[in-house]
Amino acid sequence: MTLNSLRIFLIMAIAGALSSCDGIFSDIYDPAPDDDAFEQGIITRSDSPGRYTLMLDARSYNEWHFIHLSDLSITTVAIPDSLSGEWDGRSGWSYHLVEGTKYTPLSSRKTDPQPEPDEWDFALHHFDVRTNGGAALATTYTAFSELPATSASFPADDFQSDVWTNNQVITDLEGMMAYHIGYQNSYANLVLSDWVTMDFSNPPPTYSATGKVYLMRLADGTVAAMLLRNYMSNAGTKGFLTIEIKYPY
Amino acid sequence: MRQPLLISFIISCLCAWANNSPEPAGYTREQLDSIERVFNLNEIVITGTRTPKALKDVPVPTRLITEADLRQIDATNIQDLLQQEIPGVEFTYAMGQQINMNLSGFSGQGILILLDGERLAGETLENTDFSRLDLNGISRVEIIRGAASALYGSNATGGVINLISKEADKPLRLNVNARAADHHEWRGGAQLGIQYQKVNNMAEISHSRISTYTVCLDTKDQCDFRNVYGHRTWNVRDRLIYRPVDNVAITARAGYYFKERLYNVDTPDRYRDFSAGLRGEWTINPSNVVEASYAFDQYDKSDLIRESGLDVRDYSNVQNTVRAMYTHIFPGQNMLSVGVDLTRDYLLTYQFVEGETHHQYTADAFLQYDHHIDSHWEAVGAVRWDYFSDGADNQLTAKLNLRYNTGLFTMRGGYSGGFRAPTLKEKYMMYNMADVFEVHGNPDLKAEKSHNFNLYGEYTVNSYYFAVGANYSSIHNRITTSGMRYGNGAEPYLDYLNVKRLKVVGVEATVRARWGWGLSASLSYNYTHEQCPDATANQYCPARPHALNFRGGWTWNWSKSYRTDLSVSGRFLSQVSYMSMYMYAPFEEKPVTNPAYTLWKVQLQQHIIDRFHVSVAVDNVFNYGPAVYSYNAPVTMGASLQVGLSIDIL
Repeated sequence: MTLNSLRIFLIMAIAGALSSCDGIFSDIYDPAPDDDAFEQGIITRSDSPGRYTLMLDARSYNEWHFIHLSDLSITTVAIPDSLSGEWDGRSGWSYHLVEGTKYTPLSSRKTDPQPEPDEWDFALHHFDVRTNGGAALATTYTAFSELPATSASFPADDFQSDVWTNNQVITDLEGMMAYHIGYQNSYANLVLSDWVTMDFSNPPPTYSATGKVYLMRLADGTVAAMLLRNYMSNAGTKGFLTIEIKYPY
Repeated sequence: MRQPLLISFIISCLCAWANNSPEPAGYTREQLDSIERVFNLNEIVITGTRTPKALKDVPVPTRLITEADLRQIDATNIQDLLQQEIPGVEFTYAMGQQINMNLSGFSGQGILILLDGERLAGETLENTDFSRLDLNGISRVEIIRGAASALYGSNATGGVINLISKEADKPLRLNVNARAADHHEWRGGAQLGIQYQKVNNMAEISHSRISTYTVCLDTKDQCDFRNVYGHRTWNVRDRLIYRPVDNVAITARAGYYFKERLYNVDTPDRYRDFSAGLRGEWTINPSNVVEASYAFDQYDKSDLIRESGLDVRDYSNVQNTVRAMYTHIFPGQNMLSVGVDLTRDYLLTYQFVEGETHHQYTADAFLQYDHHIDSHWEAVGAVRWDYFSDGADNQLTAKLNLRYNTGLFTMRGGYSGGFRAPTLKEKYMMYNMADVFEVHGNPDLKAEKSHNFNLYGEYTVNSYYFAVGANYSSIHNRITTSGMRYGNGAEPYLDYLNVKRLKVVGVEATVRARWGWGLSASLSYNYTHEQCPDATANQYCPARPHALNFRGGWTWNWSKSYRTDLSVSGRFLSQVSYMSMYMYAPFEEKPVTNPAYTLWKVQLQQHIIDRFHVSVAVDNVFNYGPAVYSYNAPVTMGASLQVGLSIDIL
């Protein structure tokens, strides 16, 4: 009886050890999608006139992506990191010690001004947004289908213009562990830029999206409705933006 | 060299004093037995020598938390239990709000945590996933201070914590329990025990959850963390013991663990563990015992991407271990134990180059001899050799512990060696942190080594138990990460390295008392001097120098069917000052001081017909709230209420 028990025990132990060297149940997980499969561009919705889907790889902290709605173009421009000529008196990078919402300046460096294409309506940098002389407001709606028939329902005074910032557009996260963050001195629309919050108070950063529909009034007075449907790729990589646009609204 | 000599001198003096002290006058053997029973000194422990021994006899300093203690403390989780019971234990946050343990100067990487004597696969920032350690089915916890690598191998540089599971103690036992607290915290569990002829089976299931809540409300405050992220867990375990004949026991076990943490709401991180094991013990005759076992443990991490519904695994650590041990008992209860282990360690992680996996084999052999010198003295010595196939590294460790006992006085002391071999992650990591910086492994890492000397004395008289002890550890080649480096690569990087020699010195003192009328009290003090490493990019908080724990209890049987337990517990941790990273380029340090704090808990348990157990507790009764939520601040926003119910249905 004792020998039989030990024999069974040994057989089960060896069988178990041989069958599970690299693990079990791997099929309960999904294969990781490839970020390279993400196709950047502006897709026109054929079923709904004036509806577009903007898909953008905005992972880089060192690029602005300028969008022109009239010709559905995307122009990517690098953020200058040095000064090659005469300084315009404000362009550059500012480093801050970030403690919650308290920013203590540490250092700065001068750079060339941000190059821009001739024609553009708004621009995206990671989750930051700026407009070309426009303004924006956050609605309480979470889907285009909930919006009133026209944008005239929203008071014009509620739209907020871009402001000049030195602690919004992150360009250097290298010192994140010490809460030393570098920012581009840049215009930014703080209403639109709030659609995703990146909190790096306890690195690595955490992300949360409002899920709201935003209205953006362009310089020519036309209005676009925008909904950030996703801020990551199918693989979960942050910075891949999928934005639904209704223009004109 | 001066410290070991000093300790030897102290041992000699204490021995001389103890030998000259009179035998306990006026005590009968029955009275001594009663005292030993009151303070659990006859409880059987196994961790210190890997063989069962009474707590009062074990030469290795062992702290035991019994099943009765577990019931009285009614801890929420293992962190809560250890912090309430052991002075000098602190759980702090690290990167990504992962949890780091500091036990008297040793972080999670230096404390080996075992479940029924088996290692746990997986780690995060060198710490075990403490949520796996569900107290639902635990009968006792044994804690060894000091190195124990001569018995347990790698990672036991500073101590061992061994959680021992329950066995069914009657034909049919069914318990259901639940607990609720602030922030929608909920824990529910059930246990089913069956003891039938040759079969003993214990099955457990538990579920817990808590919502995300904000602790640092003022956004202008500098807080190391603002939110405490919610999570939910499931834990299922079954353990079957089959005794076909009196001298053979076969144990089969299986377990599943799941945790989902809402660190990122849109991509919650998930943790799973699959474990199984088979163990056979054959008592050939009263002098010869053979054990053999196989253990499987797989710890996975994945991210659920809500938008796409995909659950993508990015980490898997799989450990397969076979073990054999033979124990021979000589006349006079002298005991020889020899054993061998073989482990295959497999690691897949997002922190390697994409698609890369690594594995290695570790083999070891150990020998321990436990010698009863005379009726007062016992010595246990062990030596162990470990081999790691990756890098063909060898480690040889040894220990020697002595125990001296008269009727009321016991002294333990000795030397123990420890080591922590570099992990596959630490050797081969190549992790790009969001294109910001990289963390590089170091294949040339050496094993971290420790030499530990300790001396503890305990004295039990009437209703009182006194214990005092000291330990000294010298640690060489501690493994940590560097400051930011700038090479020729695209990104700046941190890398793993060995740092210079460090020292940890600790002193402990405990007084316990049990009086009539159901009254009891204990007071424990711990002093730790941890020579801090230079500041690095790690969020490392060293041990607080002074820690004090108090527990007072009153048990009263109002009638045969109604009993109440009232307990008041508190802990004090002194302020701690150390250097922390201030500037990363060029690297600069700044002094940091974290303030002292004290937390108190009042708990009332009511036991009705020994079947219904109702618990009401107020934690942090003095409504303490940290001014700044630093990584080592207590995670509390003030007083909180907990209610619990446990029903023994069968």
